[in-house]
Amino acid sequence: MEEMELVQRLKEGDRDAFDALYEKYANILLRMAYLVCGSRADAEDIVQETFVKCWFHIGELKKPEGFRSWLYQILYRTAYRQCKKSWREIPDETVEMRADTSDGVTSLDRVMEKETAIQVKRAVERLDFRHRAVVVLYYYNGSSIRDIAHILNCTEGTVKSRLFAARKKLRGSLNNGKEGGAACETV
Amino acid sequence: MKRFEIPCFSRRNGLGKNFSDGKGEKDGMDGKIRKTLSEIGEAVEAPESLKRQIDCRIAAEGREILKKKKTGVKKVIVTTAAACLLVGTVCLAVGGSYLRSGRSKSYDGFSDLQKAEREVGYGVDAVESFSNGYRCKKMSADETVRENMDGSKESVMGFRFHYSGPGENKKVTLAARRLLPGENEGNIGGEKTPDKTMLCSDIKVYHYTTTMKCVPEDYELTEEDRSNLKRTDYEISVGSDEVEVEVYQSVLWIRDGVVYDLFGFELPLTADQILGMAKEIIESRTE
Repeated sequence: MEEMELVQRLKEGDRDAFDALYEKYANILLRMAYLVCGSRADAEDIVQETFVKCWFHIGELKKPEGFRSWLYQILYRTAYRQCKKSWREIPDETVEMRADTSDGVTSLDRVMEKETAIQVKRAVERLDFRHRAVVVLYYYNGSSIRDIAHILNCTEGTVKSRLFAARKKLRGSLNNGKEGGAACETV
Repeated sequence: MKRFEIPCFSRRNGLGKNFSDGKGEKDGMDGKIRKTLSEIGEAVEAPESLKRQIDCRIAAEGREILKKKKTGVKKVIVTTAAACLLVGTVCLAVGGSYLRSGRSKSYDGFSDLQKAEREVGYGVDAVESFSNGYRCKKMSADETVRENMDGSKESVMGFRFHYSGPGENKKVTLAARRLLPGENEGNIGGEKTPDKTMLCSDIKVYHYTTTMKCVPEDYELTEEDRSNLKRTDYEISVGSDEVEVEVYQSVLWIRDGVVYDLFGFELPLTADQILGMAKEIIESRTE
């Protein structure tokens, strides 16, 4: 069934439509949340909250074709609040440790064997939330500048500026190979 | 769990052209970031328990909402009738931002209006009785709480005047409260289309008629229900003991930052008659 039809049925309270949309988006959202917040436990909380809000607030979505952006918006708003609450409280080591003990242990360990991947991951983790969000949406989701601006509720210029600053910081981290560097400043 | 393709890199070639500082592509940094994020992401899968937790949350929070509604379907609809027009969803099976009642304080009667206005902090237009014989029997100050999509809440204190008609067990309620942030004349009626409008003292007054079908918790929507729900003048409310269909009328206007809603169920009044009552309220200020 087409996503538009599923969304329309969800607006009418159809639980099967909700389940189908969950199946479609659960992993996508979880991965985005994990990349943005750096913690598997927080990512699951964020996704849980996102789908609960989706069920109770779908009536606010005017155009079914905007469902994906709307869902991402909820995810990022929820993630922002969650990160504000817990990100700074979790040392990098803990983030790594949590990831290693998660369900995806085997694959993740394999990824972490690569030095470059470790550096990139840490460099991204050192970015503040706003820059991480832009980096994940742009590089991971493949979202356009316009879509990112819509999802993050800011201007396209702001997205470009954050992306530029994030790249600069990432390049700095990667070139220096600093693994224990200080957190990046907010632009 | 079934895996789904995620749309990463779907626009890979376009991304560099879309917005790039040039250096990222040259030194391969963009590629490294994409590859690493993709690999990390792919290693994460939603556990089965996540869906169960979501289902539990929805069931629990749905029950909470229903519990509130079960205090009396009509009562709930009455207390949130303004929400019906303001948001377009009152007691729908699925919600949007919804308005609910908060604190409430009853007064002895219309004679306490000045006291109520002092306590609430502002005054509203109201009459003790209408020329058609409807008379104010009860008055209260009520809090309206808006629960937003992002979990935040906003609230405002307002007034409710309950009028009874002569010789009939029919009731009309006037709800009046200050507008919440973002509410204005352009969106106050939600997606509904007024079936009649009137201009009174330069104020535009809108009359709406809505069919409300009240259904039990375990009711399953029929094809006809689904079709009806596409109409803006049709609502389904969950929480009654049996299926019941009622029509309610609502007259809405805004004056000096206060939204007024004069409404009632199965009223023995025509649209013109209830608009006439609204006119009496509006003109009461200049008398």
